[in-house]
Amino acid sequence: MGTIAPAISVHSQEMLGRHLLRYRKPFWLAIAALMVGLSVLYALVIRPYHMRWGATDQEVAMALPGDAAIPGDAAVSTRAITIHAPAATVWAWLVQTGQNRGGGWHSYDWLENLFAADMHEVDRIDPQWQQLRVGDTMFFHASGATNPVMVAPVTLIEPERVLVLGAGWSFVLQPIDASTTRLIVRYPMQPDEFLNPVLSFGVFEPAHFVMESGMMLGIKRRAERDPQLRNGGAR
Amino acid sequence: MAQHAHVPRVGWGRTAGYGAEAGIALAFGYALAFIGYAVVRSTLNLLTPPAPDGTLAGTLIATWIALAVPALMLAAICGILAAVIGALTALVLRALLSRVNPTHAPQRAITIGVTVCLSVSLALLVLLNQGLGVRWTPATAATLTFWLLLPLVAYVVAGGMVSWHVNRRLAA
Repeated sequence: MGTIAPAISVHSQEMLGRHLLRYRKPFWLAIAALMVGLSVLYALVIRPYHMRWGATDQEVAMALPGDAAIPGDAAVSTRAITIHAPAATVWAWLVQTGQNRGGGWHSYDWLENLFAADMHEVDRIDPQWQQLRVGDTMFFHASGATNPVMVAPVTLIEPERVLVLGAGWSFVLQPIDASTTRLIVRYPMQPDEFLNPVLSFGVFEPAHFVMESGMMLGIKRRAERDPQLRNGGAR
Repeated sequence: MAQHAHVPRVGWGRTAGYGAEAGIALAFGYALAFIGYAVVRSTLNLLTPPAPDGTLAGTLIATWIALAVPALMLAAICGILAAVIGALTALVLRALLSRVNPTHAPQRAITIGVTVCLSVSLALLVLLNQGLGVRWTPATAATLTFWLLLPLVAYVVAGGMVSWHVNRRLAA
């Protein structure tokens, strides 16, 4: 070492080494505190809030068409949002949902695409996707064609009123007046939805809130942008 | 070398421990970086009109925490794998440092660490490409950047740092 001038001097090495060690304990304490603190905050405050995000007591308590299919052990969320557009306009965006139906779930594409979902921003109604029947499918992911886990089948449909996917995932449109619609979404999460209860409640459920609320806001944003749009009309 | 006298010499077990700790720290560090990115992106989305029913603040905070909790849980799970990879890498580095860096030159130690991790990374990329058919396409670019490219860059940088640290201990 004495014959070649080192780029990092012995003194600098010691300083850097001490510097790293100095922050080692605080780093792990901060990570532990963050995990415990956020978990408690999530369980006590955030989860009760997001499980009924935007919904009134009446909407949480009301029976929805897909309820009969909900398993008894499911953790059920009911979320709602007011959209200043006719039900026909909201419906036009709702049926155009799915990776295989125009390319998106109207939510956070950038987040879904971190998981190879291959979602695309959709900014126009495509008449091609306006027909939806029981038995049709909506893909959550680009692998939906080969992976049945990534597919939501339509199990009940009442045009411009009700869409139920799978076992009780209900999307209900309630017209408030000619130009305002209430979108109510109920989702039943089973404890083994994502491998086991810990992962279901700790990973899947909060992630589902982010994506579902993002979808509801995405539909609101698109429908209100052109509230006069009618079902099947191309922009 | 007298300046290193107060630094305790590192054994194989301690070396593996350093590597494992670095692996777990990287997993959590990466999760924290992702949370920061996701909070900014989701906030920009939520601030785009129209606003949600109820309070925007409530939706923002709920979204931030609902993003952070799964990220930290996945980091804890991925941390197990990262610890194993980190420990194995550190052991390989210690063995190499003892043999090919007898003078304990720090630059050479860093070079050895970076080279080893770069070799492992390239071998993994070839395996994924040739064995599993993983390809870089517009549809997979974001996924591969997030789950493969950035973690491998972090792995290579951490490899240089761990190698430097182990070398420093070996020089004691």
